[in-house]
Amino acid sequence: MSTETEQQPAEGTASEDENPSRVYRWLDDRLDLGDTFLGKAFPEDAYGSFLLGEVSLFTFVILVLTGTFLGLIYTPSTTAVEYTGRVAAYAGTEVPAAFASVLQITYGTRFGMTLRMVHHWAAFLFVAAMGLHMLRVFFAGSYRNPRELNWLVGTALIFLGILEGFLGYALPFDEYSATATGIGYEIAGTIPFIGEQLQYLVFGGAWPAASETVIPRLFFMHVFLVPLVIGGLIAVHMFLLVRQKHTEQKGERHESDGGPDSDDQSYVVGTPLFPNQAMVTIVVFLMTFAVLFLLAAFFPVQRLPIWGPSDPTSTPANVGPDWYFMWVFGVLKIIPAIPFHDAISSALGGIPVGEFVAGVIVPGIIATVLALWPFIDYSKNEVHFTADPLDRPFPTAVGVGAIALIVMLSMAGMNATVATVVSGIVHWAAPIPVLGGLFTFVFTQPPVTTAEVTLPLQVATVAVPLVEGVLVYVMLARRKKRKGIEDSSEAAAARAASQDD
Amino acid sequence: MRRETAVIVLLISAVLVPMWFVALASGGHAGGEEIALQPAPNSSLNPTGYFIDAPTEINVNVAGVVTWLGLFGLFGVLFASIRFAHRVGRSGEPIEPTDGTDLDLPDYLESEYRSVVAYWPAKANLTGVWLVGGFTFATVVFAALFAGEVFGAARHQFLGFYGALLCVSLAETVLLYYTYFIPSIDVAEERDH
Repeated sequence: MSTETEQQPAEGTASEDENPSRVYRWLDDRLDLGDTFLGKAFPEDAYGSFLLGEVSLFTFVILVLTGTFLGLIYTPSTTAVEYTGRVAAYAGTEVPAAFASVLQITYGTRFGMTLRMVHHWAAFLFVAAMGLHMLRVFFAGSYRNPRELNWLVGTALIFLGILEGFLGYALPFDEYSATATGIGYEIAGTIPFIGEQLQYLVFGGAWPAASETVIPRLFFMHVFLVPLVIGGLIAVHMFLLVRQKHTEQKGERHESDGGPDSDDQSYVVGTPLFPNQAMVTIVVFLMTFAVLFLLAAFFPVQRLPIWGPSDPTSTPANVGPDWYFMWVFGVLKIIPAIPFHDAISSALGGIPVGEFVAGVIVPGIIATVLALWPFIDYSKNEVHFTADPLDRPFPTAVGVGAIALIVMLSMAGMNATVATVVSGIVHWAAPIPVLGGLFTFVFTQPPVTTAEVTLPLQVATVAVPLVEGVLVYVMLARRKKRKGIEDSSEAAAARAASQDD
Repeated sequence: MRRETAVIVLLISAVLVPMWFVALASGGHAGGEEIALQPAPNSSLNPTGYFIDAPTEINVNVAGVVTWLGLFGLFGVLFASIRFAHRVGRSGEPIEPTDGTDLDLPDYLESEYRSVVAYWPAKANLTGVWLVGGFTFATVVFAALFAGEVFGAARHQFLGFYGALLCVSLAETVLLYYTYFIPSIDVAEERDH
C-alpha cells in the first residue's frame, strides 16, 4: 500500500507521470493493483480454438443476465388463471399461471420476446460451446497431468449445463415441454430402489399430476441452485487455470534473444491479460452476443401459442428431448430386449429393466469413461504443450469413435424420421437393378416402418464407431511408424522431468 | 490440410451429415401458422412484426443443427478477427528486450517471474483512425436504431437484427482499436510460481 504522501501526489510529479490515470491510482491505493496478475500470459494458438472456453463462459453470463429479466416476470405456478393478454387464441380462457406469464413475457412485454429467445439460444450455445471446448482439450491432450482435476470440473460443468437446460424446459408448462419433461421423470424412476425417492427429491411429486408442487421446485433449482453450483465450478475451473497456467501450442512462440527456447515448458509465453487479452475477450463477448441476437431474431423456438398449455390426456406429435439429450433418447429407442427381463425386473423391485439400462446404465458408462479419461490416458510427467492429435493414434481414434457413437445415437433418437427418409430412398432406388434389390432385401416396400429401421440402427450404432475408430487408429499408427515421430508434447515433458532429476 | 486430418474430417462428416439431414427432415412447424395478436391498449408494441419471412417455429432437432452452425460461424469470425489483428499488429520485426530500447512499459507486466520477450509498437496510423472512426459511427447508428426499436414498436426481428449489428460494429471498433492503437506484447512467465 502507498503512503499518505503517495496517495495524493502533486500535479506533474513523477508518480503521476508513471500512472497517469487517476482512476487507476485510486484503485491501486486501495486494491494494490500493482500485483502481477494483470500481466498474466495467455498463450495463442494457430486456430483460435483456445477462445472456446471464453465463448462458454460468456454464454453463461448472458444466460444469467437474460434469465434474471425473465425470472422477474415469470410466475412459477400451475394454478388456472384467466388469460387477459394479447394472444387472441387464449384471450379470456383459463390457462396455467406459468403458461400465461411466459405468454406475457413473449407477447406483452417490451423486448421480452427477444430476451426470451436469446436466453433459449444461449442455453443451446452454452452446451455446444462446452462440448466443442472439451473436444479441443481432448484431442490436444490438454487434460493430462497436472490438469486432470480441471477435466473433472469441466465434465461436471457440461452435465450440469444439460441438467440446467432440462430443468428450465419444464417451466413454461406448455404441451411440448411438459411431455419432454415427462421423459426425464420416467427415466429417474427406473433406477432400482432409489428411483422413487430420486423422483421425489428432484421433482417433489408426480409429474404432471402434482405440477403445482413440481414447477416451483424446478424453478428454484433452475434459477438458483444449479446456476450457483455452475458458477462455483466455473470459479474453481478459472482458479485452477490461473494456478496451473494454460497449456501452450508448440511452435507458436516468437523466438527472441531474451525469451525461453521454443520447447522449454518451464515457461508459458503469450499476450498479457491487460491490455491485449482483455481486448480480445471483449471482442469474443460482443461477437457471442451478436450471434445470439441473430439466432433469436430469425430462428424462433418454443412458440407457446402453437403448442398450447400442458394437457396430461394427450401426447402431441413430434415431441422429443432437446438436441443435446437426443443421444440418451436414442439409447432408449434402440435398446434390444434384455434377457430374463421379467425375472430381473421383479428382483429389482419392479422397475422397467430395459429403460433402466438404456436411460441410466449406458449413459452412466459413457459419462464415467469421459470423466475418468485422464486417468485412462495417464501421463506420469507434467505435460504443458498441447499435442498434435495425429501423433497420438489411440486417444484420437477413441475421440473419433466417441463422436460417431454420440451422432449415431442421436440419429437413433429420431428413428421415426429415419424411417421416413429410408422410405424415400427405397422408393427412389427401387427401379435401379442392384441397388433396388439390396434395399428390398433389407426392407419391405415403402413406406418403411419405424420398427423396420431398428435393427439397422442397432447394428450401425455399434459398427460405425468401431469401424471409424479402428480406421483412424490404423492410419495414425502407420503414419507414426512411417515418419518415426513421437508425441512432441510428451517428449518435452520427459526432457523437463529428466532435467529436474 | 494434412491427408490424415482430411480423412478424419471425412469420417466424422460421414455420420454427421446424415444425422443433420434427418434432423432437418424431422417434423415441426415450418411456417404458415399465424399467431394472432389483439391490439395492445395504449401501446405500439408489435413483437411479431417482421421484415423477412421466417418459420413460425423450428423444432429442437433443427435447432441443434442451427446451434452448431452458429457456433462454427462464431468460431470462424473469431479466428479471422484474431488472425487479422496479429497480421496487421505484428507485422515487421518486434523490439526485443536485448535491443536496449526503453519501452516505457507498465510495472505490472514485468516481475521476478515474468519478462517481456517481444514488443510490436502500435501502428497508430491514419488507416486506423478511419477504420475505428467508421465503426464508431456505425455503432452509434445501430445503437440509435436499437434504442428506437426498444422504446417504439419493439418488433422482435428488428431488435435482434439491430442488436446483432450493434454488437458486431462495437466488436469491430474494439478489434481495430486493439490492432492499430495498442502495442502487441509477448511475455514469458515461469510456470512454477
